[in-house]
Amino acid sequence: MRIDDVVRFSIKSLSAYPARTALILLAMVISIASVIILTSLGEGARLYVTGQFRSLGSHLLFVLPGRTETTGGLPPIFGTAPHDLTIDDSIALAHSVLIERTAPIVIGAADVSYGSKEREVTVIGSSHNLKNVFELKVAKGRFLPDDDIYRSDRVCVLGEKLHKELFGHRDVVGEWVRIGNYRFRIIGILAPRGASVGIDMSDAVMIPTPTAQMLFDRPALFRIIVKAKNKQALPRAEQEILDTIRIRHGGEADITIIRQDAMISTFDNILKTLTWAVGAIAAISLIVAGILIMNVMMVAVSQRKSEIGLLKALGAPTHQVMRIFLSEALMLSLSGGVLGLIFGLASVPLINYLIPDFVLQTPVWSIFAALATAIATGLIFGSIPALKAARLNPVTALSGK
Amino acid sequence: MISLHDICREFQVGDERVRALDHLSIQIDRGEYMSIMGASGSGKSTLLNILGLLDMPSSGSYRFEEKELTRLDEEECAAFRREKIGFIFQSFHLIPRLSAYGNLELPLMLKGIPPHERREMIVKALGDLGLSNRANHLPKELSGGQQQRVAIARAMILKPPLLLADEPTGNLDTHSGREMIEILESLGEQGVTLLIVTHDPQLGRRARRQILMRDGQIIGDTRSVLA
Ligand SMILES: Nc1ncnc2c1ncn2[C@@H]1O[C@H](COP(=O)(O)OP(=O)(O)O)[C@@H](O)[C@H]1O
Ligand SMILES: [Mg+2]
Repeated sequence: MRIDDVVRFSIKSLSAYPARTALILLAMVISIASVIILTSLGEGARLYVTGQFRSLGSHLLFVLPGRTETTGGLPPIFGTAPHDLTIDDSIALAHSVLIERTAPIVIGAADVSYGSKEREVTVIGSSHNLKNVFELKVAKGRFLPDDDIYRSDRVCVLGEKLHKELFGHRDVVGEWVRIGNYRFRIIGILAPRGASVGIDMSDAVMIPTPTAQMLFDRPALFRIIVKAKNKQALPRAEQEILDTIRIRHGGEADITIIRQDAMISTFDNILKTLTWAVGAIAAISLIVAGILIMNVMMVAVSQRKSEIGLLKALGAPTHQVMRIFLSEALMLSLSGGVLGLIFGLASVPLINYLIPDFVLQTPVWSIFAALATAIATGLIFGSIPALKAARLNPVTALSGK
Repeated sequence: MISLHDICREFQVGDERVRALDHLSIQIDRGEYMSIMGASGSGKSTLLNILGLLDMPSSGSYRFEEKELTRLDEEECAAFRREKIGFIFQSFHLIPRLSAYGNLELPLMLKGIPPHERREMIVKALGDLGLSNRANHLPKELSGGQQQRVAIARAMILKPPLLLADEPTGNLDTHSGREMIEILESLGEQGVTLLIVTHDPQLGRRARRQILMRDGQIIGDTRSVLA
C-alpha cells in the first residue's frame, strides 16, 4: 500500500469520529505547547542570568581570602584565613603587566538615614577602580576619589534605587546623609542599569575602603576584584596572583580565585539543566496524552474488528494492518504536536508582550525535541493497539465477535 | 484447479474439541459453478474460509493450481487472497465511512495501484453492476441489493479466478437475492470459478454442481452421481 493511501485512509478514519479526534488533539496540543513555553522560560532565565554576569564587566577574577580544597568550589564560609587580604595586597596585584587594575572590596550593612527616613543598606567599601571594573556609570556628581586609596574620607556614592527611595528625584550631590554613626557627604549618584547578579549596586551605597574598614571595624578585605588586561591573560594572571600572594603571605597562597567566566559557565550549566528538567516535566504530560491515544485506539480496534477482517480478506498482510493503525496514531500525535508547536510558539511572544520584564526565549532544540516526543508518543502508544489489530484472526474478526 | 485431500479442522471450545471439517476431500475444476448446502453448523463457512486461506486446516492437504498452500506463511497467504480470491459475505462488509467508490478502491490500494489508474477500473466496475450514479453514496444510503452489488464489484475488481460467496443472499429479499445470483452466474459465464454457500434450495439447485454437507463431511455431490 502506498504511503499517501495509508495517510488518506487514516484521515478518513479519524474524521469519522470528530469528537474523539478533537479530544486527543487537545491533549497533545496542551502537552507540546507547555513543553515549548516551559523550555522558553528556562532558556529565558539562562540568558538573563548569564547576561547579568557578563554585564558585571569583562575578564574579571575574584580573589577571596582562604583556600578551598577542591578547585572551583565555593570559598570557605567558616574558618579564618591565616592572612587577611589587605589594601596593600590589592595594590601589589595591580603591579602585574597582565592586570589592568584591581579594586578592593569591603562589604557590610548599615543603617542609612536622611531626615526621618531610615533603612538598612548594603555598604560597599571600595576604590575609584570599582567604577571601571564593574563598568558603572555615574548619573550625577562623581565616583569615589582616585587620589589616595588610604584616605578615609566620609564621602559616599548612592545607588540609583537607594537615591530615589531616600530623596525622590532631587539632586542631592553635596548634601549629607547618615551612615551608621557617621555623616557622609554625597558626591555622586549612579546611573540606573539592569539588576545585577550578586550585589545590587543600585540599592547600595559606596564609600572609600578605609572608611568602610573603620565603619565596620574590620581590617580585612572581603575580596579583591582583579581585571585582567584581556581574556588571554586570565590563566597567567591567575598564576601570578597566586605567586604574589604567596610571597606576601609568608609562603602560602591562602586565597581562592574565582574566574568570572567559570561562574558564568556554572550558572549556564545549572540553568541549562533546569531548562531540560522543566521541559521533561512538561513532556510527562505527553504520557497522559499517549495513554489517551492508546485508549481511544483500543476502542477503535474493537469497534472496527469487521473492517480489519475485511482488510485481511482483501489480502492485507499483518504488517499492512499494523501500518494503517499506527499511521492513525501517528497522525493524531503529529498533528497535535504541530498544532501545539504553533500554539506554544505563538504564546511566547504574547507572554513577552504581557510580561515585558522577563524575556522568554525558545531554544531551537526544544522545537525538535517537542516534535520528536510527539512522534515517539504516537509510535509507542499507537503500537499496542496496532499490534492488537494486526493479530486479529480474520475469521473471528469478520464475524464481529 | 483445487484439490482438498483429507482436510480436518478442529476447534477447541472449552474442554471439547469440535470437528468442523471431518476428513473432507474434494476436487474443483476451473470455471465450475458449485453450490454448497447443508444445515447450520455443518461446516460450510469453515470450508469456504479454508479455501480462501482465511483459515488453515488442522490437517490435510490443500493444493491450488498444483501448489500446496497449507505451508504458506502469513504474508504469502495474504498475497494469495489478494491475487486469487474474491470474497462475498452475507453482511456485505462495506466500510461504512467510505463511499461506494472508496470501498472499491480498497483492493486496488492494497495492491499498490496508483490513483490515476484506479479511477478507470472503478468507474468500469461500477458501470458493469449498474451503480454508475451511486459512486459517491455511502453504504447507508444504498439498498441491501445495491450494497451487495458494491461488494461484488469490490470482490471482482482485480479479476480473481475464484469467487467465494458465503450466503450472499442471506440478508436480501427474494427478488434481490435472485438478482444477485444472476449477477454471480454471469461472472461464472465469464470463466470465474463460483462457490456459493446458500440456505435456499431454489438458488442452490441453479448450480451445475451441488454439494450437501453434514457434520463436517460431504454427504452429497451431484458430480459424483453423474460420474
Ligand atoms: N472459531 C470457531 N471456534 C469454535 N468453533 C467453531 C468456530 N468456527 C466454527 N466452529 C464450529 O464449527 C462448526 C461448523 O461451523 P460453520 O463452518 O460456521 O458452519 P456453517 O457455516 O455450515 O453454519 C460449528 O459447530 C461451529 O460451532
Ligand atoms: Mg456459515
